[in-house]
Amino acid sequence: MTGAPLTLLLVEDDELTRTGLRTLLSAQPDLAVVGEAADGAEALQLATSLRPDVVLMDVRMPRMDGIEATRRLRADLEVPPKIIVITTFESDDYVYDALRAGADGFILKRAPVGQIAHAVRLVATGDTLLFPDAVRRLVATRPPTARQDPAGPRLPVPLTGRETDILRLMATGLSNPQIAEHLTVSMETVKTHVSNVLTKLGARNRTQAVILAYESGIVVPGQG
Amino acid sequence: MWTLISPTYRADTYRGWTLAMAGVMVSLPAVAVALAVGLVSGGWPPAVRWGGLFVALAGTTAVAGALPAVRRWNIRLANRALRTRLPAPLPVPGRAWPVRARTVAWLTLHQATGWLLLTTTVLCVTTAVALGGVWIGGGDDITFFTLPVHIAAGPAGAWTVPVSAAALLSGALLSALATALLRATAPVLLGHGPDERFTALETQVRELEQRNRLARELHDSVGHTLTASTVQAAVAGELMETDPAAARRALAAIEESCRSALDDLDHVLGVLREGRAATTPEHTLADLAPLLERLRHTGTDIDVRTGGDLTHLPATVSREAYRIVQEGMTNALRHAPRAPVTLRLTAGSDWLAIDMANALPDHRPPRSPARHGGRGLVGLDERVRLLRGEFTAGPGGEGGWHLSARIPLRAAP
Repeated sequence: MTGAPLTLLLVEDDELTRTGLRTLLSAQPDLAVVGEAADGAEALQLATSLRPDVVLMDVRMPRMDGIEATRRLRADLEVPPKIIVITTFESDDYVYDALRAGADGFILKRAPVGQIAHAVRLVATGDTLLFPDAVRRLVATRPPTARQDPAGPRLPVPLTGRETDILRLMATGLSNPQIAEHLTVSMETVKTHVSNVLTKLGARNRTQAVILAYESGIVVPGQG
Repeated sequence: MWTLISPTYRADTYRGWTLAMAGVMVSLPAVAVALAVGLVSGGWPPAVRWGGLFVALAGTTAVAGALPAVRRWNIRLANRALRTRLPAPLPVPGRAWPVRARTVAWLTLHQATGWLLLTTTVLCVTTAVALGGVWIGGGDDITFFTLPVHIAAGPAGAWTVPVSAAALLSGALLSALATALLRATAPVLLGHGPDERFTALETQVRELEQRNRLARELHDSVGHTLTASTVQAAVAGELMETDPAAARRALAAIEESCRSALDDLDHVLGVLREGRAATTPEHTLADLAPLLERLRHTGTDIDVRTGGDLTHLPATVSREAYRIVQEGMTNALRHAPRAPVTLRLTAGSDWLAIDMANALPDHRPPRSPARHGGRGLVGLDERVRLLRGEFTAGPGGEGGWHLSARIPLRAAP
């Protein structure tokens, strides 16, 4: 990492956890915590004024929860920040809702700070699915009825075979260069395919695309 | 012989007797009313007088049986005297008549038993006292219930002793019989009817829901505290050298939040805990070796093979695994004593697998799991499924018995 540090907005209602995470993340040389919010409404204001690169967003908060805040950030800002949901429990239903609302990934608040920092860097570059296993598990715990979207696999424009392959590789957590290497095609081709996949699925980011792929059965969880 | 005498010295017999006598007492108001009716109708034909007496008795009992307090009182009395555990009556919406009818039936039975037992007791005791007493007093010619009886003095009259004893014994036996009758009938007549059972179930479901909610809230609050403490502990570690004051503040915050979480646990667990708490912690797979050692002492050959790291399993999984092994081994020992048992425990990255197999002796067809050791296996099945695992138990290949369980190691498989 060179140049300016990545700027972070920390959104968390529990003061101990928030101040603790701020201290830990600030100690990372390439990260800078530029703001702290205790609820979703405050997060919206600060994200608009501070323009952070990444927002670490708690889900359950007073006044406005993290799901609503994520949705608004996505809708209101022209260049929305990357959003990582921070959660107490991995098997939290709300995390799933937040990912569907457009968060780029999620991480446990209790994770070692190195792992959180890694997640921030990964999400900031934007071409990798954060913790593919965790996302797969999250989808797998959903009751099947909730997973079967009536819109189902019938997309307005169906994915081509190549696009489905790429979606499957995205689901395993491969980055664009890795996918390119895996399929022995150029980076540009991969980027085009990925962007087509996102458009066809109506997804805002890789995470949402993978979740939609799992939900609609285009990709079956557990089958790489 | 012993069983025949045993009712005479069992406290149970006399508790039942007391209950029956209470029936006599309870019937006194009804009897008084009936006698009053008898007096008033003095000049009438006998059929009318007896009819009036009966109607007065039945009417008084019916009125008493309709009173909720009478039922509650009778249930308490029965529980005291018979050591039954009849539940207290519950208010039920709608028809109360079936319950009242059963109470009336109980009152009738209770009182009738009481009078009958009082009569037999008086008869038996009188017989014993009269015969024995006269013999001890030197013998005499007496009229015993219109029967002339000669009791000789000395050894010739010694027959009165066994007869007296027999009379007392019959009294005790009849009392034991009455106790058994009342005990067998009490649950039917005083126990919960369908409406009350429904109400009780509803209450139970509501309580379980409350418990669940509390458990969930506890899970959340403890989760948050542990998260905050983990983060603060990392902060303390980070700042230990550069900013000792801040590190100390972080440690103080951990102390404070852990203390309040423990208070929370203390409070909620008191509510959640059903019945008495075990004084010893539940066993986990760490206690497997002593368990197998004990089982080997029974002469059973147990072939154990383990794979993976069994020491760092989630505590819930480890406890459940121990129970499965314990229950499975007990079953194997019960149905096929001394037949060798194989046990495989394998911890993978996502699953714990338990496989147990034993041969059945003499190629006896394995008995159905529903009938034998069923409760235990059903319980295991339920709990394993609660942990999102899989459980099967039944006849395996080659006429043996096979038990298999797969438990995921994470909340989300």
